[in-house]
Amino acid sequence: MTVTEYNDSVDQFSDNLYRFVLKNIKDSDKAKDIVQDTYLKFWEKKDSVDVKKIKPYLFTTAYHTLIDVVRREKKQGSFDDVKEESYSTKAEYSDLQEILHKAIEQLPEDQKAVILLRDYEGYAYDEIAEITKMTESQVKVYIFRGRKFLKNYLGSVEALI
Amino acid sequence: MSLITRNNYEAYLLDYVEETLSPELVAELMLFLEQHLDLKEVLEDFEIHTLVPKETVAFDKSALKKEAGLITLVNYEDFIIAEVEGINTPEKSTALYLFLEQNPEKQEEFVTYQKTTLVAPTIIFEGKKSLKKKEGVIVPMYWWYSSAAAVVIILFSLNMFNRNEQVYFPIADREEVNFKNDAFEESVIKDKIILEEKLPTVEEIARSDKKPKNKLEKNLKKNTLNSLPVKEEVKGLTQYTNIPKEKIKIESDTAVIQNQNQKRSITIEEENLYAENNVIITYEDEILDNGTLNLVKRKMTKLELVRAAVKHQMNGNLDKGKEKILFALNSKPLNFLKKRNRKE
Repeated sequence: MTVTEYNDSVDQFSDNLYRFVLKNIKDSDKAKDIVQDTYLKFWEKKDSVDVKKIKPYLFTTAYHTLIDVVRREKKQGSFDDVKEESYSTKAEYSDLQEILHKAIEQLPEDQKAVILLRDYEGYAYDEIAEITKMTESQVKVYIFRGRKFLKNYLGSVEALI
Repeated sequence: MSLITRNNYEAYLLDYVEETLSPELVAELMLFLEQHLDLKEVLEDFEIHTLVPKETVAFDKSALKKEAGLITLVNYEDFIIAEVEGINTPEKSTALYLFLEQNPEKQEEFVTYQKTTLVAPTIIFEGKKSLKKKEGVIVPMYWWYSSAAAVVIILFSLNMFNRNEQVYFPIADREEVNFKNDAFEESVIKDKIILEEKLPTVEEIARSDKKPKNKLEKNLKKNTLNSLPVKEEVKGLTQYTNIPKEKIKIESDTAVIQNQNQKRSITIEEENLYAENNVIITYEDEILDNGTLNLVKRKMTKLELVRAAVKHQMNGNLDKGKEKILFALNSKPLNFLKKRNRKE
C-alpha cells in the first residue's frame, strides 16, 4: 500500500470511524485516542492489508480497541462515571432521532455496536460478524433484540407524549 | 467367601431394586440379608422410595416449531424487523403486508419499527493531519553526534578566537538541568524534516568572496580570517599554517592555532563535527492559527536549533518553540556536554 492510499483512507474513513467510536463510548478524547491507535496499527500493517478491505480492517481494529478500553474502564469502575460531555458534533437530530440516540445508549455494548455498524455504516450481517468476531446468527439476534428494544422505547415515549 | 459384605451391600441392593442383579447374586444377597437381619429394613426403604411419575406434563411445542412462510401472532415481529432490515424475500414481504391488512392493530407497531433505524449524524474527526504521512524521501540524520557537535562548535565559535581565558561551558556545568528528551520519538522528528542543505564550512566561508548570509557566517568570517589555518601536507601529516604564514606546532592529531595573544587547540574531530552540523534543516512546524493546526515550513541551521533549545530550557518554557526543542533535545547535546564535563 502506498502512502497516498494510506492518506486517502484517512480522508475517507476517519470521520466514520470517529463517529462509530464516539457513539459507543461517549468520550471524545478517548474516541480520538482510539482512532489514532487504529491508524497507527493500520500503518504498521499497511503492507499486509488488502486495499479493498481497508474499511473493514479499520472498523475491526477500532471495535476491538474500543472493547478493550471499555472493559478496562469497567474494571477500574470509572466507565459508568464518565460524564456525558457535549462532544463536538455538527449533528442536528430531529426529535425522533434524538429519542433514538438516547435509547441506543441504554443498549448493551454488543447490541449497540452492531446496530451502529448496521445503521451508520450500512454493513451486512456477515461483515458485522467479521468485524466483531461474532457469528452471523449472533449478529442477527443482537440486531433483532436491539430493534425490539428501540421499538418498545419509542412506543413508551410516544405513549407519554 | 461371599462377595457381599457390610461395606458393599448397598450397591447390590440398588442393582436388585433396579432388577439388574444376576440370579446367582440375588440368591447370595438374600442369604446375606438373612444373615444380617438388621439390614433387611434398608431393602424395604429402597422399595418404598422409588419415584413413580404420576402425571405427564405437556409442553407447548408450537412455540418452537416453524411454519414455512406463515406469519402468525407469535412470529410477526420477526417478519416486521426483517422487513425493516430489508432482508425479507418478496414472498415474505407480500405475506407480511397481507398479515398487516388482516391485523390492522399491528400496523402501528410496524410503523414504530420503521422508525427505529438510526440516521448517522455528521461528525468530523479533526485530527486527520496528524494521522497522515508525508510522501517523498526523508533525509536520515544522526542527531546524537551532529547536534552535540553543534553545541560544541557554537561555544567554540563564540569564545575561542577572542578570549584568553579557558573556554567555559555554562550549560555543561549545570548538572541539575534535566532535559526531557526521552519524550520525543526520533521517528516523529524525521517525519517533519523536509530537506537538509549543507552550508559551507568555516574554511569555505572565510575564503569565500561572497557577502555573509547571516550573523553566524559574519562572525565566523570575521573570527576565522585572522586565524584560519592553511592546510599543507608535511611528512604525511595535515599541517595547518595561518594566512600570515605563521608557523604552528603539530601535536598528534591536534592543530594549534596561534592567534596573537591567544593559544587554543581545536581537534580535527571538532572541525569535522562543525562541518557536519553547518546544515540548514527545512522542517514542518505546527502552529495554531485561529484554533486550527497548520503546518508551516521553517528553516534553521542545526546550530540555531540547539541554541533555541538551550534558550528555552534555561527560561523554563519548554512548550515555547516546541519543534525546535524537539529537534535539538532529541540529539541529547547537553548529555554529551555532561559526559565531557565528568571526564574533565
